[in-house]
Amino acid sequence: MLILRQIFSFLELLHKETSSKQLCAGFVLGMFLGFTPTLTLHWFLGVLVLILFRINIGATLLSWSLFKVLAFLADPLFDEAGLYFLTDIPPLNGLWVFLSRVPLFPYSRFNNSIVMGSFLFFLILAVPLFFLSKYLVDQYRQIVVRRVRASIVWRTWTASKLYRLYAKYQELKS
Amino acid sequence: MQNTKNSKVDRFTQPIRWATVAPLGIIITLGIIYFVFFFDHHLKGFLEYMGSRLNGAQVNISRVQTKFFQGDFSLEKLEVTNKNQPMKNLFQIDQIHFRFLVPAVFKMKFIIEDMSVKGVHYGTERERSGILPESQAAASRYPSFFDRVSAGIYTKLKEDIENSPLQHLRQFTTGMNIDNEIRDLRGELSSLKKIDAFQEELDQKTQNWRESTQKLPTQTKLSGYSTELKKITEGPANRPDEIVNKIQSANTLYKEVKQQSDQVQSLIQTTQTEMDSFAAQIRSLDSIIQQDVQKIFKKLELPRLDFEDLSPAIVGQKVLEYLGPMAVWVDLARRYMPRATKSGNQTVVKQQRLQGTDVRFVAERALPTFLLTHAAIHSELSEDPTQGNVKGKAEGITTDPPIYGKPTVLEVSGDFPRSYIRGAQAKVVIDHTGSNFKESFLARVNSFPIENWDFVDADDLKLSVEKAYGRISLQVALMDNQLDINLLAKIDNVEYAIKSTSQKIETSLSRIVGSIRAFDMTARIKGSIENPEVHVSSSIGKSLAAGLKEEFKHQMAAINDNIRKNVLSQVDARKSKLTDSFKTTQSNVLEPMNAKLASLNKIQSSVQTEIQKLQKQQASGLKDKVKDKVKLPLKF
Repeated sequence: MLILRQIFSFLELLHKETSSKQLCAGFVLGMFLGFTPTLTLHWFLGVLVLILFRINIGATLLSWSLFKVLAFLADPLFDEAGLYFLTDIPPLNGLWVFLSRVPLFPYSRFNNSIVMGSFLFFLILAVPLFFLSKYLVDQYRQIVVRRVRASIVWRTWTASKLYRLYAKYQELKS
Repeated sequence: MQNTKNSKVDRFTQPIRWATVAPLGIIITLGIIYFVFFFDHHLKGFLEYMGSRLNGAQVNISRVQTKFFQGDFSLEKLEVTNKNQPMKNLFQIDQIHFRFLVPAVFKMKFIIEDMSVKGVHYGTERERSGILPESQAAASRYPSFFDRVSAGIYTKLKEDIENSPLQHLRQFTTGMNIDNEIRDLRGELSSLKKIDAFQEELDQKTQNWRESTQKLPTQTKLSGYSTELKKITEGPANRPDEIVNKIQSANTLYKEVKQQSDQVQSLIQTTQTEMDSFAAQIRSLDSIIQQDVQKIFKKLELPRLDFEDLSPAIVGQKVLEYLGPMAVWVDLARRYMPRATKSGNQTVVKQQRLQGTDVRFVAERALPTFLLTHAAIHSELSEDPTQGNVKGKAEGITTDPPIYGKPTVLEVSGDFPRSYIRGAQAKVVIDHTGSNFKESFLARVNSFPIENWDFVDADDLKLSVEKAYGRISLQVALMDNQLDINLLAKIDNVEYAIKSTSQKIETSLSRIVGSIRAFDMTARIKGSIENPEVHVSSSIGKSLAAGLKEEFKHQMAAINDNIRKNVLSQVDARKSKLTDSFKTTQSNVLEPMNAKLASLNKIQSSVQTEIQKLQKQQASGLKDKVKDKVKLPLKF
């Protein structure tokens, strides 16, 4: 029973904050966490944002795992772009030196080519991804959900014992 | 009811999940508790693990204490195991203490301005063995730089060590009875395989040559030529037209015979060339037999005595042992103390990591990520016999030499009188401030004790220096891919330990080295890291080479003869068969060819004689005719 309760709590958490903005913010945050190498200051900040703010966790986890895989493939690109930004644009040199002296900022490891490259790509892709995911979520809600709910699989699922148990749990909880 | 619903809606529309704040607070508190109560213990474990990996044997620390907000670190009783003697420590330090700059830590930098190292001991006894389990020991093997250097040196030294007569001396005691071993190796004789191949080749060639003889003009044809010639010589030749006809017939015959003769001549030449070449192959069997003798010699692991100097074989390994630890530190320095590189018009420090490149900017007043400005090493003689007089300093140890701008310098000097180590000095300079790697290392020890220094440690022979005193001087200069190493050692008051399964070898070696109470050794390694020139020399190496040659020369000659006889007994019969069959083929093929050629030449010569005769006859007939014609008017 305790295990089931944990599973239901998790499912509930995944389905909370389901406005399209919260979902899209989740996708964008997932991309940030997926692209950024772990154990950097801003990665921890990203996790903190996920925990503290009402962003859809399910969307974040989905996007995180997807962009983590993409990041493995794009690492050489991040490396090259980051190294270019860090070393080949002389006017930025002063900025990097300044940032390296700001307390705690160096823990972001911004001077690492992959960290810098992945952050740049995040900045470039964040806004387009937000609007793209918003469009897709709207489309999904208008077309796909209606069709899924009408499907035999969904009706079988809603008629199942497990679903009824979950519905009862929700009812009792409320 | 309405109010409750509104408050619920508010709770969901608020941007912050207040319910998660408390668990986060708990996690942070647990983190603080960990750092206060457990961090020091885990840091101690981490330092021990990393130290052991680096040393190749256990490194133990009694206590580590950190006070983060005061920037204080102290370490007590550091024990570094001597990996060659796991029950002893290479050195032991009573206390290391330093203070670091706390504000720098917030900038991800670790700056130590002053460090003190107190109480240096040498060769202290350990309570427990400091040997590492095999899995960890494998991980602590020398990294790439050493691999590259040693690979270059080993390639040269390995052969010397493998061929060292000292490794195979036991064969002198059993070497006179090696018939059985040789019998087992008979199948591997190249000369036998070669003879079989030659025999097969000869059979093939014999067939070809025989086929060639079929193309020679037959006896009937030769008889036909003779009959033709007879017709020309015996028929009437009185009239000029008859003579002209005969000359024409003779010329035609001559051309045909000559053509045949040329063909036979050419065939004989080709065949002769092939036979000469095959005869040369047969002659080459002698050198192949000699190679077989040498091969068997090597397979039986018989010692070679043609060395002038055995130094690389006996002290080469020792030279590598001295250089090994130094190479480890060079490798670490190059890995974690990168040089400066130019990128665009900026000077930066790039450190290749597992993922990406860390870039550090060479700017005014910039601080390296890690910096130990100064460390003082101080130790004085005490009641403890292992503690010595040691003074030293380390300056500028940093992860970013180009940012710090000064080379790293380590200087240590000391004496451990109760351990009989006197006048030890070492100076290391690591200069990675520019765009080249430069390292230099100078070390000198005026006197140090030597125990159990192995020259040979084979199953059946152990030759070592049991006790001695040494003096050593080592100079190393490295620049990028180039190295120059000079090692000079003088060893005095030597006592040897010789153990062998053979009494004879023990006696012989005792006789050779017994009088050598002191020797020196030099090593020079110069050139590129991958392919250095190695020269190792020592007076004992030369004496051993000469002594072994003298002691075992008779056994050597006898074994050589024995092998040669064995090989020849196998090869001789088949070699004779091959030679005989070649000779038979030679006579069977060349004799008919030569006979045919002689017949053709004889016919050709007869035809030529007949042509000359007929031409003379024709000429005299014309003369008479002219005479007659000239006389006619005079009669009127």
